[in-house]
Amino acid sequence: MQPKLTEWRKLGFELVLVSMDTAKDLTAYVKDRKLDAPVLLDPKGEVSIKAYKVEGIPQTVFVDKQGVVQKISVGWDTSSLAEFERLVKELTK
Amino acid sequence: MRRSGFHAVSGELFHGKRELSTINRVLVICESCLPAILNCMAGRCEGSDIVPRTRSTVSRLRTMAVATLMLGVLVGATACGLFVKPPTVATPPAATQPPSQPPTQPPVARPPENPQASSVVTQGKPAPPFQLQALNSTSTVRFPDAFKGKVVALEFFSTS
Repeated sequence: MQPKLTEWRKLGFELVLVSMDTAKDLTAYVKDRKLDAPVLLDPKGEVSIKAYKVEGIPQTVFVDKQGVVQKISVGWDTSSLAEFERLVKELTK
Repeated sequence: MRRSGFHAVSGELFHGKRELSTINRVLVICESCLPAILNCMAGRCEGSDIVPRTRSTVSRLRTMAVATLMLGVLVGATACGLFVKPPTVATPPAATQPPSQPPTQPPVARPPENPQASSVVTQGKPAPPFQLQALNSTSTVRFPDAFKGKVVALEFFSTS
């Protein structure tokens, strides 16, 4: 999603990254990939496992403006970006 | 795990949904318990997965099923399920009860196996709120408060 993020933000979209990895690992990862999105630390899995019951990595949960889950996507393939773009445009209308 | 939902809590109680019939008795058990029970009856118990009390229950049931000695009525299935005796002619438990009798269901239903099941994230349901520390920051981010009015994609990821 990173390449589209600037464009999507103008529509009222935000990407929030959540990981159970250590801050040290994440810092290097974010720097290496030049990620431009908030990264939240979930070392004990309180959110990832207990609250959201993540079943696979990566898992993307799209939440609309009202805070309602609209789409849960596990994994990533070549069609994901196009699908996410369609979803972002639909939800930000 | 399915085995953890094996409801032989008292040795005679089962989660009542599916019937396993023998000649003259009906054992009421739930769908998730049934495979484990059948495995045990076939001698394929995985002991570490079934608590001893459950194993002894299955053993008892196996003995009784083979013997088929006892007759009677299985009634009073509860949310936990009961090992109840049917009339000599097997009929649904509810049909054996006159209207004036108290309901066979206990007033308090058995709690769900996984109390957090209701919090599973589901499309069309509100996203669970949370508060987490941001990377390289001492501040915390509250979701969804910090993103009011925005469409948000929460991406759970790993560096490895």
